[in-house]
Amino acid sequence: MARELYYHTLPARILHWINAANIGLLTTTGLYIRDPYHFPLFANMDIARKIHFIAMYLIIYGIVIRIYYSWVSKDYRELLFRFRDFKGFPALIRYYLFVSKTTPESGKYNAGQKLLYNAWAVLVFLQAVTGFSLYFPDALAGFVRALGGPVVLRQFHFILTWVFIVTVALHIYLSFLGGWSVIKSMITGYFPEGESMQPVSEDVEEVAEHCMKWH
Amino acid sequence: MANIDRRQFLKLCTASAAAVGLSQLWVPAIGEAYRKAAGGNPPIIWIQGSACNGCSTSLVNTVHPDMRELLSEIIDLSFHPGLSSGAGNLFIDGLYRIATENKGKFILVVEGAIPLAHKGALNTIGEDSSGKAVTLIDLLKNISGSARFIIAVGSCASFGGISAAEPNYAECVGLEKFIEVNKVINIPGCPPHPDWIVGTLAHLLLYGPPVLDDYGRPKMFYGGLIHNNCPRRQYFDNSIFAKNFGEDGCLLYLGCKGPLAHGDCPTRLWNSTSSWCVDVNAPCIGCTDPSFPDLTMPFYKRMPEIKGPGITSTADAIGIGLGVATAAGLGAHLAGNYFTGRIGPRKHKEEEDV
Amino acid sequence: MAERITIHPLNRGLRPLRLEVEAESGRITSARAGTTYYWDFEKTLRGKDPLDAVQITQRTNGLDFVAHTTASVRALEEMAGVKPPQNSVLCRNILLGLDIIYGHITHFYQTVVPDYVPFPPGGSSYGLPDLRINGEPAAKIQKNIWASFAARELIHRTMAVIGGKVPHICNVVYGGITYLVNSPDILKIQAILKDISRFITGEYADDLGTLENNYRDYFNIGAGAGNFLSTGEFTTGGPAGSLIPARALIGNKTVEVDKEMISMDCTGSKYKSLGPEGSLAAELEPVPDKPGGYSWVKGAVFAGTTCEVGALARMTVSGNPAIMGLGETAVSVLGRSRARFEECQILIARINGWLAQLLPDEEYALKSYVPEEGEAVGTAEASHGPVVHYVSVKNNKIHRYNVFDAFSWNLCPLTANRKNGPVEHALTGVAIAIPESPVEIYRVARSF
Ligand code: HEM
Ligand code: SF4
Ligand code: SF4
Repeated sequence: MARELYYHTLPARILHWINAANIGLLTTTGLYIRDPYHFPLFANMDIARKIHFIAMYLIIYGIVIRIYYSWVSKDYRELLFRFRDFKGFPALIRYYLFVSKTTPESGKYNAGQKLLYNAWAVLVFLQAVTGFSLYFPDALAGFVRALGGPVVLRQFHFILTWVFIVTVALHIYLSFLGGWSVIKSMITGYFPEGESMQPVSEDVEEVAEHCMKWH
Repeated sequence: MANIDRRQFLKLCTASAAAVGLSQLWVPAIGEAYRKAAGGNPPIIWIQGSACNGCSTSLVNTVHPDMRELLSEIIDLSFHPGLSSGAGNLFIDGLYRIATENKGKFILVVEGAIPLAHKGALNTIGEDSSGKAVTLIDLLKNISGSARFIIAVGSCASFGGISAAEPNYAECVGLEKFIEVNKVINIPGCPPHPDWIVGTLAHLLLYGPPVLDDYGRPKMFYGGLIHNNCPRRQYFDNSIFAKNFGEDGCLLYLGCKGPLAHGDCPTRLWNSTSSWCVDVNAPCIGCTDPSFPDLTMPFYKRMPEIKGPGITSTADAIGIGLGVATAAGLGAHLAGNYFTGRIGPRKHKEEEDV
Repeated sequence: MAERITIHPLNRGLRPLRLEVEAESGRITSARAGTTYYWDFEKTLRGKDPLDAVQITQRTNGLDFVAHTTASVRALEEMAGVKPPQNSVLCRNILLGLDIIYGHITHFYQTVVPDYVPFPPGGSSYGLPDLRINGEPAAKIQKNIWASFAARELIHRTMAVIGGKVPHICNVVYGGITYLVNSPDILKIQAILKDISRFITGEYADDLGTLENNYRDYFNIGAGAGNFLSTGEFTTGGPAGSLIPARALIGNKTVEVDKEMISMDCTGSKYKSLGPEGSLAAELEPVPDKPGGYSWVKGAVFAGTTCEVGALARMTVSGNPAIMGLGETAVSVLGRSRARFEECQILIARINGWLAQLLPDEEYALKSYVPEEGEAVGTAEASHGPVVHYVSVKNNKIHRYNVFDAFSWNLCPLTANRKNGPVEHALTGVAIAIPESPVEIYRVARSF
């Protein structure tokens, strides 16, 4: 058996699945709240809303802890999308559009992944802003008004939901495309060496070691 | 006295300006007895802008107190277009005179929005004694500064309402966009409940301005969402929705805007507790909300539409479109992966080739 | 010596007016009557859900709003070719009837009376001349003004039981109504109707009598051209037809009204028609400084003539005996008030009848959809006169909407063939005693 690389630390994995569950619940309950007939996913409004209102707190905690963890474990070094990452895009796009055959070289995460994961933090923040304005229409009335009123916020909240759905779908698709090893790595933490979706450059291992210490 | 000839009339007009200015109202309240009862209370000047005047009609529906008590014992209504006997320039001059005499004291009530287009020429309310047309804007500029309090009655006066519905050719605005916001008390509603008007006036006279929310509405009436006090809330929570007119159940699917509109309709009830919108299976159309009617339309559909440059589409169409596009995109990509041999049986072949 | 008198505003009516008359030795030789504020929802309705028209157009007017709901849904129902259930027809009739009564009581006590009775009691009504009612009768009328407010509130209370809230009812929708009154509701309405009826047959009748006795001459003032129109109202679907026929009286000739014969004429108003010219479907462009335009009212004409509308027109075309009994003098300032009163009496009785006809367990709303495309005209009578709605629908959205109300008829601005509207007609020839306080003009113009 090939040597396995410790790829995802336990806290990262736990947080990943907590956040995934919350996003899943928020999206499904959200769709139900919007339109119970077309998205008959829950027994009734009461349950859907209660789940939504619990999960909305949890997703915020989840994201905040993930960011905190990223800071203490230093894995933001490979997660944070930086300006220079733009350089990685052309090759990546060529690869995804079947123009070039070779997987572009990058760090642990490629430019697209970084952008996506960072964007989710921003999206959750936006959902929290719009969502809490809907949740506290009186306490936040002035704020709601400044943002264009509840109707506008509700639409915005809903459109962002679809951004989540699309990006999460993309994420899941790419993970499956990566195969079982990719998915397994998020469960066990280990990823078979050599069988990478993208060639891993040197400094990743250093970070992985650092994480291991933490772990 | 009642029968006067021309000479006497002219004398009356010129010599006793005070009698003219005293009051223009023909309602019998305006006698000495009344003056004593409501004496000392700041007089109220009520003017109408771009509106259907349904707010005034609604005021007449006040029950406790009724119109008689209201006008003879509670408020000193000195001017109201529907109750004023003066016509023509007497109307305008009388209005100005009352305002001047009570400078800094009177309460100005405005019903209706203010059309700004064509410098206000789309709404001239009369002519003064010099024969000059007076626009609503002229009038407001002239007297609003000397009002002690200003009250916007109805959604038109508060936020523009129906008068300002897009495309808003007349460029109507609510009062707060016309004068400094902190001076205006908004009593929105299309029309507002008489209790909201009378109650606000009474509060103003007894205790000063009521506590207002961020939309300038008295919290005592607009403190809660319709939806939170709705008797059909159980139906909502249990997802029992009416789908056709005349059905029982929560009216969400028939377009109910109760979840966004503020007001105490479900508990106060309308027309001396006879009923209210949802009680007759009719959705709340959000008539007290600043977004009424532009964003609360369609009234009878769940989803307001999203307007973008060149597109008019429901949020769902956008959402579902995005979803379908994603599925199609990913599907195509998957196929691409398969045929280029990145995945599937050919994957190994390619590896063997290497 | 020619004299020009401008009255702006003439308040207390449905909407404020601007009147401009020319008088020659104390007699009016020509008159112009119009409104001075722009107000239309047609632009707003374009592109909207057809179902929304009922709510938006209702807000044309804070007094005659029920007629707008009715005309609006009737247009859509006609377009779809559906018949709303009997129960909903009856409920709409009741609401419309009550709204008409409301309009008449309001008109009498708020619009008319202050021009005849001194206010404050014993005062001079702000310097009006020719106030002939004094002492006891005047005091009674003054007292009844309060009673009229109470009666109005009662009418709205009964309407709210059916319509949810008033003003601006919420139960009338395309295909029927949203709520059918149950037995306790009906009992409540019947009980309140008794009070309303008492006020009408007691106080209202007395006060109108007082006015008539003191102002006999006003049965000979304010005649007009004598063309009348009613778009017909109050069918119950039965063989008897409608209570008020859709009929016009043009120069003593009776014509059955066909909606096709109604056309739009904006010659004297501040609109430019973008065509089709004269059609109810014409698109209008507001032109604030249009030469020759003096009013924001869109004119409506029937078979090319301007027609007087309202209670007098309805009572005339339906051959009401009391109005017929007045002969020539019916078409006058006080004839119009009398016609309003007669109509109130008829309607109160009918409303009780319609209530009794309701079948609480039967259907009251159709499960039907507005067609994707089409056009239609819906009409309904209001206290001041008929409301006409033109609607066309394209791709499930309103393409064009035009609203005409009583003002379009009675205040029809000068037409293309130089005809005056009924109010202008009625003003012409009226003698004025004191030009500084032309109470005669007030009385004539406010009689409509
Ligand atoms: C992060 C904090 C969030 C908060 C505070 C929040 C709060 C809310 C609230 C208050 C509502 C209105 C519920 C109602 O009116 O009954 C709502 C609706 C909804 N939420 Fe959230 N939410 C959050 C996150 C999310 C996320 C992450 C998603 C999806 C990815 C989401 C999707 C939805 C959807 C689709 C609706 C229905 C909107 C509609 O009715 O049009 N929410 N949310
Ligand atoms: S009917 Fe309207 S206000 Fe009442 S529960 Fe349903 S959505 Fe809320
Ligand atoms: S329930 Fe809604 S639509 Fe009805 S009056 Fe109250 S705020 Fe207006």
